[in-house]
Amino acid sequence: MKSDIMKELRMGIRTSKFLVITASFLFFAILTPIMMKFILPQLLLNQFQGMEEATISQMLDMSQKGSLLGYMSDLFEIGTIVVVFALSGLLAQEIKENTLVLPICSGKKLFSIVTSKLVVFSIFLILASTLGMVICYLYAGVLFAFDIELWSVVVIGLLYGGYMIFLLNLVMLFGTIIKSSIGTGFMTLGFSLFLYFIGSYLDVHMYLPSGLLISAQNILANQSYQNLGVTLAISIILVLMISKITHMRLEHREWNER
Amino acid sequence: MNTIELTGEMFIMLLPLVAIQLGLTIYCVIKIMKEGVENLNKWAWIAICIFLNLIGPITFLIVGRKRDI
Repeated sequence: MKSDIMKELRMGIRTSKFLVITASFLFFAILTPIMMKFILPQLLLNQFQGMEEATISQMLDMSQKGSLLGYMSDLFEIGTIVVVFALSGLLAQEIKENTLVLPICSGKKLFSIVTSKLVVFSIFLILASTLGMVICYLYAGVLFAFDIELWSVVVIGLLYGGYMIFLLNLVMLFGTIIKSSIGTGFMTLGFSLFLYFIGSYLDVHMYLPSGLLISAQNILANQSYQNLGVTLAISIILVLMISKITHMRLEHREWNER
Repeated sequence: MNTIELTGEMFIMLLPLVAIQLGLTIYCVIKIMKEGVENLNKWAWIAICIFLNLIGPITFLIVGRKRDI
């Protein structure tokens, strides 16, 4: 297992998966507060000549909280796309190029291969989203004022990391169904957006992993941890089920088919 | 016309963004020259990496890198 984890770490660095995700998370973490403080007000002033700065600050939530909310929406809209497509080849590519055959023939267990991928990228996603959130918090704090507790920002980062782990599991599952990594990416993206839409339309976010994002917004908006326990429990159960199904699909796969 | 005044404070705050953007672009151009590309030709990928902020290098790293099996 340890050697598999080391292999996944090396592959993550070599294929620049870590770099792509970290760079995009950090980019938006830094960009959002700067946009809020400097660029958006100037754009509005240019668009509506004669408008006073006080009116602009009423239109935009120019605070640390507003910046963090902006970053959270960027992370959901763009971060999701980046994560899904960066990780879409994790299993799909390996199955397509038959690179799993050799480790399996040399006695490696499928459970160990799949689990090491999940462990490495789950820890990385948790760290990346928490780091991005903390950097956005610090930047926004310097530009506006520190009006939120760091602890709640760390919790929000962990919740976003949890949602990203759900996406990682979906990518792995769809990777066993569709051999093309881009196809896997689109399928995962479509499915996750569909779940979010269902959650909003039927107001059942609480029972879906997308509820983690809603809980994060509630924590930021009014320090409310209501329903978080239920959403967390359901998300963990779903993630475990998806990884079990992924494992079962790989176990029943004919590896020497041409 | 929209003009945005670049203040000293704004410039300092933007430096990390410039560093990320520049670092990624240089990294990608080196990768393109050393390892080759897939799906588009070399010069097209270089242009994409240079002219499309963040999106260009990320797109290249996801779909443009030549994979060695």
